[in-house]
Amino acid sequence: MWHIIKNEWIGLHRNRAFLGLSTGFMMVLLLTVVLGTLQTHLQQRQYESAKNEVRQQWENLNPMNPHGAAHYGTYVFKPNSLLGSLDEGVNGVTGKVLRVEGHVQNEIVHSEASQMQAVSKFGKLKSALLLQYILPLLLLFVAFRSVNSEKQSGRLKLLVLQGGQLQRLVWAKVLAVWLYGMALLLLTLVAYALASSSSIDANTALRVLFFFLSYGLFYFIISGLTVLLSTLGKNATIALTTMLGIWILWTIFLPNILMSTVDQWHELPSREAFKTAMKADRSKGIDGHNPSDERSKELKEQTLKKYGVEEVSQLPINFDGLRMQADEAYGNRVWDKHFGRLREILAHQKQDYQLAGVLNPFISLQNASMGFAGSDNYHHQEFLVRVELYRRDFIKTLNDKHAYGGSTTGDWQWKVDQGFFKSVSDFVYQPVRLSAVISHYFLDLVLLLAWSALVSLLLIFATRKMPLL
Amino acid sequence: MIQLIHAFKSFKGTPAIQDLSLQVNSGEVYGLLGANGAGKSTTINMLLGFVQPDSGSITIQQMDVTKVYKKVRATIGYIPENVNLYPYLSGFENLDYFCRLAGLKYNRSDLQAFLTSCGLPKEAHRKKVSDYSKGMRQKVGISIAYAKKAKVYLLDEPASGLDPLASNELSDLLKKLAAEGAAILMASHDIFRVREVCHRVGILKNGKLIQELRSEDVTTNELENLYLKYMKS
Amino acid sequence: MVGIGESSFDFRNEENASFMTSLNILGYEWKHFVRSPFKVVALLLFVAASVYGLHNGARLYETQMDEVANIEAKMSEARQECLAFYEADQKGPEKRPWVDVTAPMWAMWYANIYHFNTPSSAMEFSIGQAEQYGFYKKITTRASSYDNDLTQEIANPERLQTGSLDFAFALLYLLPLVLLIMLYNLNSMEAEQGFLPLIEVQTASRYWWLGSRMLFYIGLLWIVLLGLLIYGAYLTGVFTNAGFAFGQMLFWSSLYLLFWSGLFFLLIRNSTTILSNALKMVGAWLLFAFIIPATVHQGVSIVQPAGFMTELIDAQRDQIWKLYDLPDSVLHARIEQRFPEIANSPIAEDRKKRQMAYKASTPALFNDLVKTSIVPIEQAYRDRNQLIRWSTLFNPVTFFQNQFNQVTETHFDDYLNYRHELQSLIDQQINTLVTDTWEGKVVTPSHFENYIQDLSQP
Repeated sequence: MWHIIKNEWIGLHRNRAFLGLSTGFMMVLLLTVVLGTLQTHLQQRQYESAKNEVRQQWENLNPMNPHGAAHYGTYVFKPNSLLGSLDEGVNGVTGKVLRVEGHVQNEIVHSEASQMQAVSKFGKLKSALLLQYILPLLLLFVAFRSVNSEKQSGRLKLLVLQGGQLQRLVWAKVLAVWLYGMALLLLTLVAYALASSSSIDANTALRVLFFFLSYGLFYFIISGLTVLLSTLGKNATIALTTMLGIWILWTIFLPNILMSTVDQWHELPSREAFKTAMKADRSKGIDGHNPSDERSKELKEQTLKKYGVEEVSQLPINFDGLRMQADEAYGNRVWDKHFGRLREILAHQKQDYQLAGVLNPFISLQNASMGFAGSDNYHHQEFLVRVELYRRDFIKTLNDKHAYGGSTTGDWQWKVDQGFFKSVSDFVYQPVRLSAVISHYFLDLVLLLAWSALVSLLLIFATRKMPLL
Repeated sequence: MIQLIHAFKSFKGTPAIQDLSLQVNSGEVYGLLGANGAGKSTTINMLLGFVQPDSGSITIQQMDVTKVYKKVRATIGYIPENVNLYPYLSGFENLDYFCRLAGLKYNRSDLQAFLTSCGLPKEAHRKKVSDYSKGMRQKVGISIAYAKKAKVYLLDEPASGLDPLASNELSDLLKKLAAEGAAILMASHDIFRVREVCHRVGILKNGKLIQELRSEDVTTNELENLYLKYMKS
Repeated sequence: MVGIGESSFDFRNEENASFMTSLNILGYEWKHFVRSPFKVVALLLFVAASVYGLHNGARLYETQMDEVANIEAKMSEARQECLAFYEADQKGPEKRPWVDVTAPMWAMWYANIYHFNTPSSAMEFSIGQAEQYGFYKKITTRASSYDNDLTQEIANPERLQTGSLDFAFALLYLLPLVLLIMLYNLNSMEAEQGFLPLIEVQTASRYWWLGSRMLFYIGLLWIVLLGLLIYGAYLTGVFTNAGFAFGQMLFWSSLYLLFWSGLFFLLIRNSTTILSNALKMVGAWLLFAFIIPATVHQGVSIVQPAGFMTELIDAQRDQIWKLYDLPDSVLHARIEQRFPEIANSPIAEDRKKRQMAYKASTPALFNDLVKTSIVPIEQAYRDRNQLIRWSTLFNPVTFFQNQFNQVTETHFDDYLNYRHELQSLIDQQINTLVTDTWEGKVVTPSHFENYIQDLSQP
């Protein structure tokens, strides 16, 4: 079989048009890696500069009341995804700046897409764009007449008469095309590894491996299916047009339609409806800034009882801080409820979209690619959750300082110094562990495997039934 | 009338036609014999205006092909080696389509009559061309040329791949067209068919017309021997 | 055989022969088309995708319109509540004793002035950037045109990234593909099968023949486009509300169809095989639909990277807090410098009320800070967009995409204009608040109505 594969490669190598096309494609692939890395470096520099600036402002705050500082708040910026230079995923359309402050959970804002007019519907020239859309087309053009030309030229009869096995021949054709795709994929990943060698750790390396695996499976499906059609089709044109049709359906038509459909099946609330519902629930809790609020009075009674005093002025602590924190705790529950529901809807949408991989393996590839690159919605949501957890911790630290730092109730002029502000930890984002990602994208990998198995079975079956004429 | 006078043509410095002069008169069938690469197709292509000669004069019906090739083409009936028509159209529809391309609009019975008189059985008129044999397709091709009421016919290996019966029918058709006054130039390497149907025969080698003779002056065997002699020399 | 066809009409020598030949070719092309299932299915799929896209767009339009109506209802309810206070001679809700609706500040709060970027009914043709931005905002003296609530609606980012299947998507990406499928075997099939010379002999001009055949498909697709546009127009009442937009959509989409037709004609006119035709056309489509826009996008993000808006966040937080930290005397001096006319106002003489008036005027300084911070941000927008506009010289798909967005008022510039309108309303409200507060105006129901009226128009 290796002999046939080698022969196929020699054939391809001697085709000047193919060689030119491959060389051009390789150059563009390398260019995407270079540009992607350059953009990542620029973004990283911007990110660090913005992060440092905001932190400096926080650490250099003039002495201030801790709750005042909670209102002053801070900002968290969304860092680059792990393999963002390969697959940008949702990063272009999601916000990048999140204000962290007391009482409110802000939305992430200032997406890149909102800062310029429309340019490309399919995103930037990242490696993923070429690997997902263009490379399969290249494989398709290489493979569509692989078997058919043998049949039409009569070489197939000759091969069989020479003792060659049809099965082996067809598989060799599939593998020759697939290996060509894998070589280009490998080239991209090697270039990426060289360009980003300083930032690659074990987690990233493993992600790259799964990234590679997903694409490898998809290329096998494309190579196998095209060779299959070349085997079955009356002529090469039928194989080509059918495969082109499949490519259009898989990459352009279905992802959009199915995504829009799952969005309609599991409808997200409008912002206004969402905010109104949040506000309504929030209004049932303690109003941190309103001492005459009924629930606030209740908390006061409990606190007085706990400390065994009659008046808040007798408390050894600042009751305002407790009330603020009780307000926060309630707000957090409201956030958990509403954002939890939102995340649930998004998870349902994702699940259904993943299931669409049964119809379209391209969807599985896109999901897995974004997922392993860390640029999908799951990573984005995880980032938002971590920022929210940080916000809670941050505000609690300030409210605790207000309550237990030595001030008395009603003393809003009490201030803490820079030393305290410096002691409040900054937000540190730890990328999601790969094990969590795999569990989310297991279905996509399984579907890619199932498609590969199906194509293999069809190839075996078709080769058995294949007429020589 | 078809006329080539001292025509020369070369491709990338390799001569394809060298000083070719020949004339085909009305009512005459002229056979151009030659091996592969002898220059038969180049000659036909020059006559069709697809290839411009480097020098020399090429006229059809007294019109200079190099200058008014569009006008000339309107008077030519052309039958290629393989008449591969639109496979999803019937013979009738193909004929109708090609007539319309030439600006000719015939009624149904006329079109059927053209097909029938060119030897296509009536029951095949409505069948898709994809179901036709090569001979049947060739007949549709001839009917396309015939329906154009051409005065000049250019045939490039028309009998190639045809079975003996179809080939014979083609010979009869060409004779009939010549009898109606058409000038026919047929490129071929079928010595028997050329001897049988043509009035005059020219032998082409390396782009040169090395021998021209009347069919009636030679037997098929003599023609074959002559041809082989030239090819081997 | 002689005599056959004698009765037929030979118009080869007629003046209109070429025209009639073209008509004949056009007429026959229908047969070529219907007998090619691949082409028919492609066209049907395109129609299905377009109809789906139109409904998607109409759905978004209706959702936004419903949202606008919903907020307008809430606005009206809140205003009625305030009018009821005036009628009952109350200062505000009992639970909020600090509210005084006769004071300009509270009256303006209760006026509930929202400004909408009401969607055009033509939005269904192109959703454009509508999902990137908010389209309603409450105007307050502390608002800014870059507040968080002006960000996109709650949406699945993966859907935004994949892009919604709207009509513009079908038009921009699927239409060239359908055209490609219609044309891929024209000329090349005849060449491959060896009867192209016969066609040339019959027609005298191959390009004329090819052009006539293409004309059929261009016409067919144009009719389909027109039908789809009319269908879409009826979905949201475009003829009634945005008739001009319909004409513009038709114009730009026709031009887009012609662009691809011209390009494909150049590519296929000398093709010798179906494969080379398909390769060239697919290559052109990939180049114009994928590679060039994606390269421009990548290039813009390197040359003019979208930042973290640090100028704005500095103004909204650090600089405003620094203003808070200023001693009253400095802050008041700044307000007086900003509004010199207040020196002669009635409240300027009233020491007690003056403090409240200064407080009510402080948002003007915040507003100035934010406006200053926006200048470099919007300059960066302009530079970035200029770069993208310049690229349209070789990036036609992006050019047409933005044309469609402009027609349907879903272009970046439409939302930038909306921000400018918001800023102008914020400025108006601040100026009125400062003037009325320092004038010591006691707001009556009629003043309240005037606020609603005057402060809603940018």
